[in-house]
Amino acid sequence: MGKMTIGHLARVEGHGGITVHIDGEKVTRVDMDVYEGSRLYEALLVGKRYSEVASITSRVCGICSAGHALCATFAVEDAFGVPVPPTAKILRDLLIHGENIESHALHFFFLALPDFFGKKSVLHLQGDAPELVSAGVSLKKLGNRIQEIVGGRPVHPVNLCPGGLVSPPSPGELRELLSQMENHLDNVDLITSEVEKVKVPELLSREATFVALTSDEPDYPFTGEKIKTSAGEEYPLGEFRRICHERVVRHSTAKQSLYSGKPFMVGALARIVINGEKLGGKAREVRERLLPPDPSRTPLHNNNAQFVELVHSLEESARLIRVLLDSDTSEVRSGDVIPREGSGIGALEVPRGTLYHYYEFDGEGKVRDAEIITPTAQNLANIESDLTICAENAPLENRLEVVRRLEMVARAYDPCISCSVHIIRKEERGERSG
Amino acid sequence: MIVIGLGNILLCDEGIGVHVVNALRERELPDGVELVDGGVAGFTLLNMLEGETRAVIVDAVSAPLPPGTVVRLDPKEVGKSKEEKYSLHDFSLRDVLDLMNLRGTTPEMLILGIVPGDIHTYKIGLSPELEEKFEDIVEKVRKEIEKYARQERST
Repeated sequence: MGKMTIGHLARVEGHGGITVHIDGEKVTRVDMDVYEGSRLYEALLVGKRYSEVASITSRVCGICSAGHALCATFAVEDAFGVPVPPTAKILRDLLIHGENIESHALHFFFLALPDFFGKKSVLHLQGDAPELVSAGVSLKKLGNRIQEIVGGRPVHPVNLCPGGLVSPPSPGELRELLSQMENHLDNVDLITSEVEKVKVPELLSREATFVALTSDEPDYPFTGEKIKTSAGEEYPLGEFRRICHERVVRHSTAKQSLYSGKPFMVGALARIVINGEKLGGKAREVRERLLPPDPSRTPLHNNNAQFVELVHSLEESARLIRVLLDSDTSEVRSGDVIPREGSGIGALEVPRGTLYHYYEFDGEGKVRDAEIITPTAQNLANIESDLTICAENAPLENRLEVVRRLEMVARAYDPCISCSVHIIRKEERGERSG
Repeated sequence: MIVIGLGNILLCDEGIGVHVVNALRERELPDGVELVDGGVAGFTLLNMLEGETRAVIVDAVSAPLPPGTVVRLDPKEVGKSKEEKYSLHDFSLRDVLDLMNLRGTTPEMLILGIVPGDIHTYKIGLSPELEEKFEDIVEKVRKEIEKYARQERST
């Protein structure tokens, strides 16, 4: 039995590696290893007050910091039954779109486009397509600016609190954002035409299961009251463990998720497969130009799916700002939060897929147990399964080509290995002292 | 002039840059210095730096020196990535600097590195050895910023 090891993956957040197991000339298995040390973030939360969980979890990652903070806040509100005023809900949606724009701009323009154009990195893309790099930088900046204006900081937001937001942005700040969004929307056709020229490589084709949050509302959802699979099943959020049935694997320090014993995919492509009919406006148009009618056969479509969502987030945040500018935005926070013993679940579609935060609190509102399931942890099993199919079709005698293909497949998932928080605990639940 | 502290405060001394910048808020600094807790900014650092004329970065640095040592680095001295690849966590600062150079947007910069004692323990707060030297580290960083700001005035 032979082995081909591909060390650290280039252009992937954190450090991950791939091992191809070969028997004779046949690929038997591909493992995605996670080299990043065990993530003991959940244990760090035990004993902390409910008011601290958002700020602590926002520090896990610089890309999804708003998503972690918001998801943690949702869980606290669920546990203590805290209402949220309508204006705060709109502002939080705006924050979600800000993060989506920022993260998708980073992955699409800096990490995925170099693959499409056959370049080693964005540094090489800068020479050939400086206008695309500039568009990416400027979109990423807008995404961070939205987070700064709504969340109080460009990364690691401080303006969220259980029950709403600490303070609303000023109309002047919102108008500044609106004008930038309109400029970017004017540029969308140009970028789409550039991307349209590039053919998505056919590295693998398979059937897959997709999972995303969904809602009965007509809007394309990033929050929702149900978890939906591409097979049509729906579950309430409280049953998240039925989806994320986790297993520990020996080659990785992250846990992996299986649904009905099978891997599944979350993220922009999953959201489009499940909720794509709800896309409207320019995003719908871009979707028709950049994605086939059924984009589910290869994860490589996740890159363009991210760009479609980026356009949606631009349009939707411009719409939300217009609503805010036409209404009284002074009430962004409900009354005092009264902690009580119990548990709460938060779920949110962050750029890379569904994020779950689950907490158990004692009577004083201190964390007794914490569970964070990231999109990357959910995707890992599916990445391995796709890598195996891709390796089976690859010319094993050409190592460079195998590396190129496998890296492209893994990168399409936009994995954030540094934040596959989900950790193997060093202690059993019952042994905790906190 | 912008002063950005970088690092992950959930990983012990990895967050030293953030802790130092936050402590500087209580110290006297030259006029016009803006302090920023950059956290795990990664690529966002590019957005924070572009448009600035002068910047100071405070971050943990790996060097064969005793923990707590404050090292002055020129941006050119920031380690090259091991391979000509692009991995955000491999060393984002180098990657950000390279892209800014290509875009012609690099501000004049000073990088202050602090040698950590422990960056592997999942802990909010510093290791005992850095905790002990913390006031001294903050003061050294403050003096470096003051010196750097004065250079600006003289040119």
